[in-house]
Amino acid sequence: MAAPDLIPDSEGAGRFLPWVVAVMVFFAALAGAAALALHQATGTWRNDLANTITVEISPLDSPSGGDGRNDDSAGARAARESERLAAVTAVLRATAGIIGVRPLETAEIASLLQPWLGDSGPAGLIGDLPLPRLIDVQLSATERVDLSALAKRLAGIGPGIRIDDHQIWLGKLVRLSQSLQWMMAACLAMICFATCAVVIFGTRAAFAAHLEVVELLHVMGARDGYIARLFQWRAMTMGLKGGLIGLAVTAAALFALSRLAADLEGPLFGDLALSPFALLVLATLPFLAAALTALTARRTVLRELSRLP
Amino acid sequence: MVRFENVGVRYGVGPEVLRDISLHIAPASFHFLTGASGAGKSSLLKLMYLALFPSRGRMEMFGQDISITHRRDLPALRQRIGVVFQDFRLLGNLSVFDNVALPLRLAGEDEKRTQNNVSELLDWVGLGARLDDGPDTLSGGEQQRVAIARAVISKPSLLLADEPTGNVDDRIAYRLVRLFEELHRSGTAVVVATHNDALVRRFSHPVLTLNDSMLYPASAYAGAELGAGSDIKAGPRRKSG
Ligand SMILES: Nc1ncnc2c1ncn2[C@@H]1O[C@H](COP(=O)(O)OP(=O)(O)OP(=O)(O)O)[C@@H](O)[C@H]1O
Ligand SMILES: [Mg+2]
Repeated sequence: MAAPDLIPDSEGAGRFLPWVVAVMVFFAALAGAAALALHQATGTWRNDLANTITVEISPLDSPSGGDGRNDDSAGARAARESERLAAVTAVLRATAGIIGVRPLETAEIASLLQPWLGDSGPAGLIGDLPLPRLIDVQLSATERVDLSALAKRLAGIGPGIRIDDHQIWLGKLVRLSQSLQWMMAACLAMICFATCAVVIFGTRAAFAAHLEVVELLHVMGARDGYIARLFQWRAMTMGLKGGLIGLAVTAAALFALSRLAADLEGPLFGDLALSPFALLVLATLPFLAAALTALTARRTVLRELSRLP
Repeated sequence: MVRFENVGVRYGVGPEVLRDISLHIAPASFHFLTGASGAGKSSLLKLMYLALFPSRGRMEMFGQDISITHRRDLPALRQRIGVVFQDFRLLGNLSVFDNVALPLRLAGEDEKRTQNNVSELLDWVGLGARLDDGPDTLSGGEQQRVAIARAVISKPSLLLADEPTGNVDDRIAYRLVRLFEELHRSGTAVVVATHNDALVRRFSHPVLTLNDSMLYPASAYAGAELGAGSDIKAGPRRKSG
């Protein structure tokens, strides 16, 4: 077929296109990588939230003397503490979305502390300490509980009652990550939009540069689709070339980033590593770019051709 | 094959460059189209090769009313028309061979047949040795023959030639018209636009004359010379046939 020769691509009009596409693919890949990494990490973080929270009730302040000088006041304090525990438990049980409330036994709390304080037995150090009371709360998988509202209500019962704020913080992180993902999606959309705009202008320039050939083919009875394919094919090769360059640069950048992140070794950063699926998605970007370029060029040429008689 | 009824044409909002054109071109006929420069010869041919549409009147091509023909059906009609442009319009980045093969390839013709037909035709116009050369390396007359070969390669039903003898000497001009006559005899309707009245007079074909945007049919204009034309016609036919 003589087709590829009809529109020589040595013409200047479209030569910048591969480089523009390369830059666009690079940005798109970064935005995509960020979105995918955040998406994955959010999944993990959400699992960590895993529908359980812990409510912590600090021990009441002991009277000034300290070491149980007065048995009466110690007994009263224990009574007030269990009263408070009951109140908190009641509030928790009354909250929609909470399906299980289980106060931890003192022994369980002690065993949680054991790694830090040493094996001292009931008679040891732990037994003497004013330990906080912990409540395991099971959340419904379907119904969302407004943790900050709950925290306020619990604070109303008395001082020293709080929800383990690691959980709240994680929840905020998840929400932040979701907003970031939306932003990345918006970035991708804008990158697509900008790429299309560049392709449209480039194609129009190429069309104008080859108007004589186009008009001749048209008068000879070439169908619009035939003429569009000439430009489409050219745009696709340039788009693919640019896309592959962009992907190569992205690969280098992501590799460098992953080395830096590995040095951090934080529990959260570990979640940010890209899965093989995500990498596969990124690897399709040059082909998506080529397809987008080709389609845009085709539509542009068809629109230009519709002006010919 | 081509039928115009009271066709008028204007470019944009300008004056009508063609007014009240009525004509009929029968299959396998041969017409000259003459007229002063700017009379509208090229515009009339453009109408016929569907690169321009009438602003009023009725125009029929191959039995189809153009005003109601869908745009997607026009390419098929255009493929039945061969055009020799005054400025050749050969594609510089294609070889002579590929230029001539273009109409066949557009029509989706079998590649092997294309190869054979194109080589044969280029041999016939005396360019068999220049198949792979670029058109820019050819002389004006050679380029003209390539342009004509491209116009006739797909055996069009209608051949339109716009000043095909514009920049060649009389002898070659005469031979070119003889070549068009060959096609005409094999069934192609031919319209040759020219302002070379002397050339027109050497043949006995009907002449359409454009004057002041109006078309005047043959007899009114060239009737007196028709006799002289047919005398000459008998002789040179042997030469170029
Ligand atoms: N594309 C155009 N836009 C506006 N006016 C045009 C256009 N083409 C031709 N004209 C006008 O139409 C008229 C007829 O032009 P046309 O080219 O048909 O004449 P012609 O008979 O072929 O002349 P020539 O013998 O010099 O080739 C002229 O007045 C010309 O100025
Ligand atoms: Mg003209």
